[in-house]
Amino acid sequence: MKKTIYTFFFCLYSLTLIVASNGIKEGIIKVIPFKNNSQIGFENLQLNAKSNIEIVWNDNYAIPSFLTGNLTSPGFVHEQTMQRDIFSYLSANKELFGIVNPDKELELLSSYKDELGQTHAKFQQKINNVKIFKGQLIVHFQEDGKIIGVNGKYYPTLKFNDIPNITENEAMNLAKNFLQNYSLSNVQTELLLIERNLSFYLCYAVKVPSKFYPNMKVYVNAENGEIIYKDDGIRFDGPITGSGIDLKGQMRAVPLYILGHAYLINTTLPMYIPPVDSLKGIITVYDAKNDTSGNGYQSAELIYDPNGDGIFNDNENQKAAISAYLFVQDAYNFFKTNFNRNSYDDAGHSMINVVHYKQSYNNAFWNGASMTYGDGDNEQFSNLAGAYDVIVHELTHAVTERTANLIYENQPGALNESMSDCFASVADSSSWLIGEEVYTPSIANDALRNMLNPHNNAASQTTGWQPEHMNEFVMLQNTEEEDHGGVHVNSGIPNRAFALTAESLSRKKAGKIWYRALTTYLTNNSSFSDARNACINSAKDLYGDNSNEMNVVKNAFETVGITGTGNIQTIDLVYDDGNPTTYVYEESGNYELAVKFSIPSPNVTLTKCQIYISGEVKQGGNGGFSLVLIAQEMTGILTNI
Amino acid sequence: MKKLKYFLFSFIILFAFQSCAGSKNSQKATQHLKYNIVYGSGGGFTGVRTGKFIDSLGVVSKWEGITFSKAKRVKIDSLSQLQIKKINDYLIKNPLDIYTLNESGNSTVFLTLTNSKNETKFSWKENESSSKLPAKIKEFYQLLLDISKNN
Repeated sequence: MKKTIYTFFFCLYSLTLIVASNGIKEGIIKVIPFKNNSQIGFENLQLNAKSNIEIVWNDNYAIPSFLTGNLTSPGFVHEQTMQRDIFSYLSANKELFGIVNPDKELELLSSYKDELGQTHAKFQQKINNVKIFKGQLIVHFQEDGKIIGVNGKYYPTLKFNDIPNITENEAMNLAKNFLQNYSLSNVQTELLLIERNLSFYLCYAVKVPSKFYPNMKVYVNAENGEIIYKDDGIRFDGPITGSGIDLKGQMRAVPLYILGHAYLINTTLPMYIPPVDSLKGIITVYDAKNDTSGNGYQSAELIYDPNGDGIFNDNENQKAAISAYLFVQDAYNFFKTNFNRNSYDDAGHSMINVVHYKQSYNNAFWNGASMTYGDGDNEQFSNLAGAYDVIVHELTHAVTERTANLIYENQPGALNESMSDCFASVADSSSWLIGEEVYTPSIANDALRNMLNPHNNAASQTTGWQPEHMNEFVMLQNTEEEDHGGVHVNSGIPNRAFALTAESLSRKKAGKIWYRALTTYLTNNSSFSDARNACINSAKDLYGDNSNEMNVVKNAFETVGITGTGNIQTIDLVYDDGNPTTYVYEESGNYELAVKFSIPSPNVTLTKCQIYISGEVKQGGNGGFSLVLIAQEMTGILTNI
Repeated sequence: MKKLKYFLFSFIILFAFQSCAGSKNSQKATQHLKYNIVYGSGGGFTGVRTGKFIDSLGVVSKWEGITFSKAKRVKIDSLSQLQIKKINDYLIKNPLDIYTLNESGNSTVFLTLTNSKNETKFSWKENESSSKLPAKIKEFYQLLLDISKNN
């Protein structure tokens, strides 16, 4: 009975082993290592040795990974018969090293004699001419022919089925598909046995050389065609020159940085401070991936070349990145060459760009940390990363922030906007149009703004129109709804002053005068009048008192109605904080509407004040009525007393 | 038989009582928003801003563009009672007027709450970090976006 029970459990155990051995994961091949008796082998070695032997074991296979000592007598290895003598030694110690036929399993890779007279012979392990990728062993012997060491990562003789399921051609095609648009030439394949985490894979190493990655290899599982891994062969980090297609469809040379992948990181400019991972003084681009969740930056990722060929032609999304990347490089050089400004902070701050912000986003902006560009909806705008003037405009916001820091409201805000347009028009001097390359792609020759003719062929106070003289100054409130007092509207007036100056002198000269004004004279609350005085004084500094340049600037400002004193001031009318306010609201079941405001400064008079409110009456759910405010308008002229 | 009569009678009385109670519930007063709400974002290279205004009745109006006068709001939707309740509940539970956030910049996000007593205004840069943005304001803004995302 007892015997029967034992037999039953033995059968059950055997069955479990059989099931387990058949349950090998797909793609991993079954390998049977030679069962060496390392203990006996080591005892034999010690017996023959003339001194102590030190050994470090490879516990996975019970073979030595590092063996040192007087392993043989002198004269064992001769230079002329080195391989045969070493194989003879390994064969004699088969129980210890586990290598059954060294002459068939080892191939000499190299040997060299060092300054101590020791020779080091390195061997590659293989079975049936299939290279065991990670199997290498080095035998060390002295000048007198005594073997004094054996070390390496190798395996006891392995038995496995070396007939692959897929052909070399299939492996090449799989590698090609994996690398996508990679141009294949001089492709080579080699069948290998690879060990990863104690599992063995029969695979093809497909070598796919390219200009930037001469040693690119893709390892394809020869059993099931899966890609095991890719090795780009790059053993250094550093800058290279790659290429990429921009939004105009042109192939452009681009500076790249290899850091595992090939990234759009420009380290070639004077502002760069190594090491690259400190991210100092670089230009780089992130892809926001059109993510609309949260703040739009949730998925932003540094852009790199997915197939590693150094050519950014892999997908449409790369085009905006290439355009932004190169335009920002040009913008850096523009400020450096013309104004000796080293990045926007003049201290080599890195320039971070984000493309593909949100979806069909018709805008670009400086957010205090990065320049961000939308793709546009292709009706109002095409991709905003595709226009040099847009990029210089945004970069100038960063320059303004680090210099005069003009407050983004009312006249200082309009000056802030104007400065961005002015420097954009110096950098991109093809016309006086702003944003013409990306604005309404289906309509030719139009633009978002026109600096020389701010009316821009648009009806008064409609999109595209800007005032060109102070007598057209648009009084708007400092609210989001009214563009913070019309910062994108009234910028037309100083824009025209700049354009008139540049037409008379040159854009370069006008740029120098405005740059000096921005960086030397303007303060955060400067008005149009202050800008006039700043520009006149800059011209005087640069070209002399009563110089032609100074008079041109003075005339330009006078032409647009900006005088030295007594300009119209934009001052917020402050709504009374008490009850009621200007809004319709519910109070104890009643609806009330009132307008009440005060002028913030006693030194100001308000004339020609008009308040316009219209709305429609709606019946509320509880039987009451409410007036739904659909428009309110207030105009007036405030004059300093 | 007598027992069955009593049972039916009791059932009718109970049903009638419940119907009356249900009717009373359905006459509950319409809920209004505690605040008029204005929210949106924009600026940047174009100056275009997009905003929405929700009045106390839950009527949603929208404006978009570069404005040369008080923005022309176009009615686009009305909030449901459930949505109004959701907004009111959030603001009662999380009073936002304890926060101050008035960032200006090239492109900003804005939120204004107005009632009979106060006007509470927030604006912040369209920034990747927005570390100054209190979590409750961010959460409430997201609630508004979620409620009006189909408009």
